[in-house]
Amino acid sequence: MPRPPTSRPVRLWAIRGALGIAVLAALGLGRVISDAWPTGDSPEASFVRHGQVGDTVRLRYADVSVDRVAATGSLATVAGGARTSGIWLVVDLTVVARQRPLAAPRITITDASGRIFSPDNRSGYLFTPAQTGIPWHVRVPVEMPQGDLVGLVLRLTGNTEDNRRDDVASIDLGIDRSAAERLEQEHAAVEVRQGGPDPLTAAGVSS
Amino acid sequence: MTGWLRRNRWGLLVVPIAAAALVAGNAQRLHDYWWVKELRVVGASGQQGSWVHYSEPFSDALGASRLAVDLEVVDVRTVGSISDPIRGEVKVDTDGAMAYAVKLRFRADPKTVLIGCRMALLDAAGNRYDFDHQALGVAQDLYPCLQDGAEGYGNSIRVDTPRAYVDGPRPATWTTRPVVIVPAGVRITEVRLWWDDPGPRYCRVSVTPAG
Repeated sequence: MPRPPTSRPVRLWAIRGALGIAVLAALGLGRVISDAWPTGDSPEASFVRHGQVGDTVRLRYADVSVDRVAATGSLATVAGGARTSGIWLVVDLTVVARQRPLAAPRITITDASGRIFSPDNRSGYLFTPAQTGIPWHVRVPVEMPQGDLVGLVLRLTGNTEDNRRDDVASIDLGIDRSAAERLEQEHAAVEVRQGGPDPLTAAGVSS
Repeated sequence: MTGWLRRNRWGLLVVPIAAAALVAGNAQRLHDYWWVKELRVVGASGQQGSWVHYSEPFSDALGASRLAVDLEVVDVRTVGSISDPIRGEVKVDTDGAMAYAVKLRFRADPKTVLIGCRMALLDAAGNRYDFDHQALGVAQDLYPCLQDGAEGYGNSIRVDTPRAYVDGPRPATWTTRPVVIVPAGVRITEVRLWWDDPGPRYCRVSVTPAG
């Protein structure tokens, strides 16, 4: 007597079960892959370009170099002056915008313990848009606590909002212990004016 | 299999439509964060010495209308100084930089809002040099397409407030002469004007500088 053929509903359920197992297996495999090779923040990470004082750091939107690092307790500004009980770190930068003007970069200083310091308007700092191709000399004063100058790093990003997958300059200001002591002894008032194509003169001017 | 296809034909037909709707439903992010962030669409183009008609959608608190203006790049030439209302002629003597003056002629309905225009010069390599009304510390007219004091109407920023003069009325035709700083030796091939900053529409005029 011939065996009766497998009934249609039974075959359908077998196919559905196999499909379900295949889907679960694919999900499991995906999980294994993403656990084994985690992406972390790499899809959004900036491209950090490192440099030292005097180096030209080439970014997508500009060439950037730190020309001079100075310090003072008081700034000479258009509005009069700005004093601090901490220290004004004064970084002279040259920025050459590539292909189009660089209007609003974000410039910050990071100390050895990871704290971030920004320039503010009280210091008279104002970044005027750097015209394409013209070396733009910018003086950036940043107010900081005394005694934390060793290992400072300047960071420049192309805009203030979104630097995912974009170039970021990270320039070591080269401040070791002896340089930090020397900087903390500097007291001559430093003149701050808005950036432009005219070269910056020596940082210290008599107050 | 054909049975399955036939049974699900309506559902299958809807799948691509649903997928398209899914993508389109989130496309405002492409528009807001990418499309309008650059000058991409040539709204009008022309040559130095001939009139170009440029228009683009415009809206303020009073509703949507169109911005429309005729413009002509009369002349582009290198100059050795920039006029400042207080300091007079200020020499451009910065190392590595030079200046181009662009003589522009406009005509537009005096009621059209034209504030907010921007201008850039481009060289053959596509480098863009933007007009900055405070370049080198010299005070030029704020907008490259308008004379200070004769800007005409500004935007209405409240539903119940009609448009008012920014400073004074604008004549039917007028000229401007913005000066742009560029690196020494650069030769300009294009003047670009736009209103909705940063984009995507702009007006492009091919030019041949004199002097």
